[in-house]
Amino acid sequence: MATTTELAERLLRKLGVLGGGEAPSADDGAVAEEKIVAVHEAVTALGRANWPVDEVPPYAIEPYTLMGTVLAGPDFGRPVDTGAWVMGLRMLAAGSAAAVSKCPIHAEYF
Amino acid sequence: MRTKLPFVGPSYEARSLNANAQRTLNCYVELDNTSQRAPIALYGTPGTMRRLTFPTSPVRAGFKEGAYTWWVAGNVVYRVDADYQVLALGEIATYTGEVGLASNGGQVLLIDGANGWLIDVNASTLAAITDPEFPHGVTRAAYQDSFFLVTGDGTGKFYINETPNDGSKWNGLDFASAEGSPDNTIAIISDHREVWLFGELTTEVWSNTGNADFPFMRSGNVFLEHGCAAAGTVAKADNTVFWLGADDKGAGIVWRADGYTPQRISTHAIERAIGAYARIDDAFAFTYQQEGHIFYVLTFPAAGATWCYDAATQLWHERAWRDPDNGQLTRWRPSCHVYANGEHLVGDFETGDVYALDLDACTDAGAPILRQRRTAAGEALQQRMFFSSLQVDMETGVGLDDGQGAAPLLMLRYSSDGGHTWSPERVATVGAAGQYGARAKFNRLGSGRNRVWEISMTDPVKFAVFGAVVDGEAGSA
Repeated sequence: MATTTELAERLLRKLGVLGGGEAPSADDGAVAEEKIVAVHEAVTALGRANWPVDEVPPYAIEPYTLMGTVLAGPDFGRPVDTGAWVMGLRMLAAGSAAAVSKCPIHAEYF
Repeated sequence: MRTKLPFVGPSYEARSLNANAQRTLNCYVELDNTSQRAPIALYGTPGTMRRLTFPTSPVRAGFKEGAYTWWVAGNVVYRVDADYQVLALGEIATYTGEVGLASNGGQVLLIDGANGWLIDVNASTLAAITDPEFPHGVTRAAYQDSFFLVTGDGTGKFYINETPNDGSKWNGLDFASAEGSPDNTIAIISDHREVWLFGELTTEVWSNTGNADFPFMRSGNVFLEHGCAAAGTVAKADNTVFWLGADDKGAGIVWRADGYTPQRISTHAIERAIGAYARIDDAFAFTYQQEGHIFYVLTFPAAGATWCYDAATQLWHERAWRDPDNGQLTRWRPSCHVYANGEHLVGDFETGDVYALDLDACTDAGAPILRQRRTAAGEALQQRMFFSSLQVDMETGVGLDDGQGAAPLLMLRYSSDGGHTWSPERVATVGAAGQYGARAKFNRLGSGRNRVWEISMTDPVKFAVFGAVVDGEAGSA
């Protein structure tokens, strides 16, 4: 599971704002966390997420980060790649399908 | 976009780091306009190789005369031959402090602020000057035209010996004062057969007129409105005289004489550093030439700092010794310099060691040398720059066969705020022995508006940096 703070740092690294081993400034971290929350809200609205924003499952970490770059890019002067949003949604869909299929299915008796 | 960074340069830490945070530590700049790749390169300063250790310490002064070098370490005077065999000649009265030395070829005059001694060069003997009219208390000595000239006893006078070429005979009436200004004469040097008398606020130049009563008098109207802040900083090299200045307007500018005109060679950054030291009157300097670089090495003992001016490039760098026990940087260890036996010999300010300065030596007598280069802040119209990689263009494949240095590492950190705060340190290999194709490359370097890069190295290997290339692009924010 990843927290919003961890995802925000990952997002800043993906954007190139942070270098290896660097920690975000308070301002940059706050902006990135806002965008991660926005991504979570959007994914939840689409019915793709059923977890709290601070408990993002491993298969959703990269999609959240990718989708976050679309929202956070302009704040840091980075070009927006809208394809990243679509790619993130596809990865989420694939991930959730795989996650479901890998879960044990309990028989239900009526 | 890949661009070449202006990576090599001098030390220049401005009053505002945002304006300029450059630092060049234990490396010096070499200019070569015939090289397309490296028109400006950075090379490591010489390491030190221990040649001998006197039983007494510290090493206070050294001089070359005849077939030997002559040294004062602690309270003992030594003769050292070309094989570095040591012969103790005798003792003087003081154990520490600077010692003035001058030679007339047959005698080396030695003064320590209390008494005077003469070394007979041919007999290798030391004898105290017993003439009651010798000016006790002098600290600075020079030689010109068969006369020893001494000063620095606080009276403002300078004295000469009575009988040419005999430093044992002195006459209390053989003195003069630089009276163009009432300031105290504190230092003396002979350059191009002219005597420069440095006062605390002004300087006069005298010459030998051949007058039988007292041969020296002021050369015409040569009078400089700049004096000297520290007597030990007066040194000659590159056909002229260098000193740390003081006058009635202020202190802390480093001058070199251009004819009789003082030319400022210190920068605002150097002057800012000097101005922050609690003491500068204890500063001393020596000069030496190695591979065409004429260095004026200026040390501030109380501040624990050493600055070095290269007359070949007119650029400054810092030198420091890194204490291997605690990693602390302090003044460079040499206290005096003698060129002999084809080597640059320097004495240690604290111990009885004499070292040879060797550009191929990569340690300070076994202790690692920290070499560091910090760039000026980059600027791109204050846009946020995104850096994906930095490759330092340097000589690689310089690792040693074994031990520390077998896999040499270059350390990098960077600041995105002009040098106020720094990233965590990163390392890259610069290649084991023979890996000449190795690249000192760092990836994922984040973003920033006023990026300052800093590389450093402590491995005992050759250090030669020619520049750097950076992959980066400007953001729109």
